[in-house]
Amino acid sequence: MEAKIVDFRKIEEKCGLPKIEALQTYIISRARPGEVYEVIARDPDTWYAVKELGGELGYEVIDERVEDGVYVVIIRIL
Amino acid sequence: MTMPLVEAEWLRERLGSRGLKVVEVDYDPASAYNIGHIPGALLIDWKKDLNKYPERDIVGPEEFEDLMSRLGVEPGDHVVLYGDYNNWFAAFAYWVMKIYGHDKVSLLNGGRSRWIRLGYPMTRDPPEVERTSYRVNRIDLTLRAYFLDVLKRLRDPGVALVDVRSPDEYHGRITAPPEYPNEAAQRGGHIPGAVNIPWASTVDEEGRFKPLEELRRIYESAGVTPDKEVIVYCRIGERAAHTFFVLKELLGYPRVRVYDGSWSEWGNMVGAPIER
Repeated sequence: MEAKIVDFRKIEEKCGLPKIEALQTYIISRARPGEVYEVIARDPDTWYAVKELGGELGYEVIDERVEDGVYVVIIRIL
Repeated sequence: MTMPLVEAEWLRERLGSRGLKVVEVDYDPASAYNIGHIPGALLIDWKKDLNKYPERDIVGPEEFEDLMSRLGVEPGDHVVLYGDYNNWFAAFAYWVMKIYGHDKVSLLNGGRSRWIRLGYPMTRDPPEVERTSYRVNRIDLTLRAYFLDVLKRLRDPGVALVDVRSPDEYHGRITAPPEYPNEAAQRGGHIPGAVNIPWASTVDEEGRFKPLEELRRIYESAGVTPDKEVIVYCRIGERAAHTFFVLKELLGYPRVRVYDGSWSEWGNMVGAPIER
């Protein structure tokens, strides 16, 4: 399944919510099981949060990478 | 003499040392400390632990004593602070600790982000804490400015007012940063006479402070010199505390104050003059 790309910075700016709530509101609550998302963060702190919150929010991390200051986590909704 | 700034490498080698307390200061602990922190680190939740509601004030000395006691801090402990959001709230905690006379305090350069970037250990395990009976022995209110302190000093050539917000906020093009749309002021602009030196100009791409010579040049070229009394402000005081740290602790300016009412107070105050 092709990953949908999500720029986390834009979500944070749009909703003004803490990271965990932004992730829940703008990705998880709208997603269907099995969908894959490529979440792009601009800082290591957000990247770490996305990697670590899968258990709480109901997704699994299937890949992660850092390239040129861009922090990427690929997740699959459970 | 305690170093005001410590590096991640320095801290990693000393984790668990007697008399060293590592404290994470978060605006958003649910997305930060609670999902991983430096092993042994304690938590200060900025909103709950350092602010009084509904007064809108920093905690008083009794609340500060209770916080330090709850964290197991002794007056002689070396406290190393770090946190989320570019270390802004850790810098705010640093400023509060200085007000309440805790001099053995340092900021971790680059904060939480750099620790993660380096791949250093993180844990969800809560630290073991033994409550202490912390007492405040000295209060230094010369580090803080209130609305009237600023109003009385407008256009005073001996005072440098520094607005550390983004240029868009300074010029009134926006009334709050995009991430905080609910915290906008009624009016956009800046305090008359303030120069705009954004907090972000003091750090590199990893959030570490720039070399001292470069920092000195940034401020002096804008007329912010050590002979003046400097008052720094932002929106709610957290970014201003970051610049307070640069000016007072890194560059050694003798008279630096945080106006923590900042734009959320000035921009809403009836009759307060503004410029754009």
